[in-house]
Amino acid sequence: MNNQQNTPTIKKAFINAVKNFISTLPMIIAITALIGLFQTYITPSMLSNLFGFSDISDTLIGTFTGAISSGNGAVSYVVAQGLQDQGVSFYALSAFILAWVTLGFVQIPAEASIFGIRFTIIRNILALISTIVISYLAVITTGIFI
Amino acid sequence: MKKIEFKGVKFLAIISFIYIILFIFDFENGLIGLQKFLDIITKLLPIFIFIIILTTIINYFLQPKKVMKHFGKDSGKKGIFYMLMGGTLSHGPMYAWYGMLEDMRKNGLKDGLIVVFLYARAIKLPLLPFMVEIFGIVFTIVINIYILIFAIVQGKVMDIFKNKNIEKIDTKNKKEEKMAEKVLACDNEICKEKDNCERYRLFKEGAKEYKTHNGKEHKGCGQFIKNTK
Repeated sequence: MNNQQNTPTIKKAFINAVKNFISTLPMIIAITALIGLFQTYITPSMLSNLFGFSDISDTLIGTFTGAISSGNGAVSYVVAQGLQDQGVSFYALSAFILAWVTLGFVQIPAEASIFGIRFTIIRNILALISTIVISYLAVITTGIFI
Repeated sequence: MKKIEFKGVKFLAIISFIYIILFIFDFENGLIGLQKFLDIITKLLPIFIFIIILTTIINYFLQPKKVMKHFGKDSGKKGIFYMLMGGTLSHGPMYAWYGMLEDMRKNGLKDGLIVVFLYARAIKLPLLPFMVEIFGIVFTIVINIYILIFAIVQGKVMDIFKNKNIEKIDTKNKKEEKMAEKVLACDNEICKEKDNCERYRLFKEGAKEYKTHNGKEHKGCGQFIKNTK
């Protein structure tokens, strides 16, 4: 009996899901609007001008620019392809793509409002470190196999 | 009926304000930004619908007890596996998934697994051909394996931070409890400080609530209270 009372109907589950989604709508709209501005003012050609110094600085720049850029993941690959044509290192390219998807300075306020500041800071620092380490490890490991 | 608590209202107000300023001082770019915003939000609509359906399914089938079992404190390798799969297969931007994750977190989803999910999203299955074209097949396989490994490592590190925080809060609560504890008398006859201690005096005067603290012949108990008489 008690178990039956605790089990939600599909209708209740749906209403809860919709409510939950609606509650995050202001945040989603705000982030998307901010991304619109970023895409207007920070163009791929601006990003590519930042590269081309050394592997280390390119990796850091790749991480940073990936983190401040936002939008569809496919765009990061298109930008990365352009950077590759310019001779930017694999370290920087992989850092750029990883940071684009896993970091996101734009969504930090939203992440903090949902999961808390402590969680957001720890997660983003961990993701930042992982991105740089993975970029190097992946290039080195690939070098062993090829 | 439960009231909806909107998230990110202040953030939205700030962004709206920025747009207003832009429309006044840089109308053209403001308009381009607004168009891009509308483009993105339109493209995201199917993902939003998918997330609502998925959340409904999770709400319906995964009761809090089950969430705890599969994704909670003792979820183990199974929880990690589910979150790696979920992160890898999930589409759309990261922030679109915050609501669902928050809902599951309220029901017991542990923070480490949220981190695993969010980092595993670096693997984009539909974009793998792109990746192969740019980096080659070996690099693509290697980097994706590293992403999975590092997603797990990050989850573990987050759990360590979380547990440390819980320990800190526990210690603080215990301290506060101790501070709030009423003065008990002490029947410790062998304590070096017994003649100077308020607790021992209270015991001698017949206090009903008392216990033995850890005073020894050569030292006090550490909870010594100076005798007021």
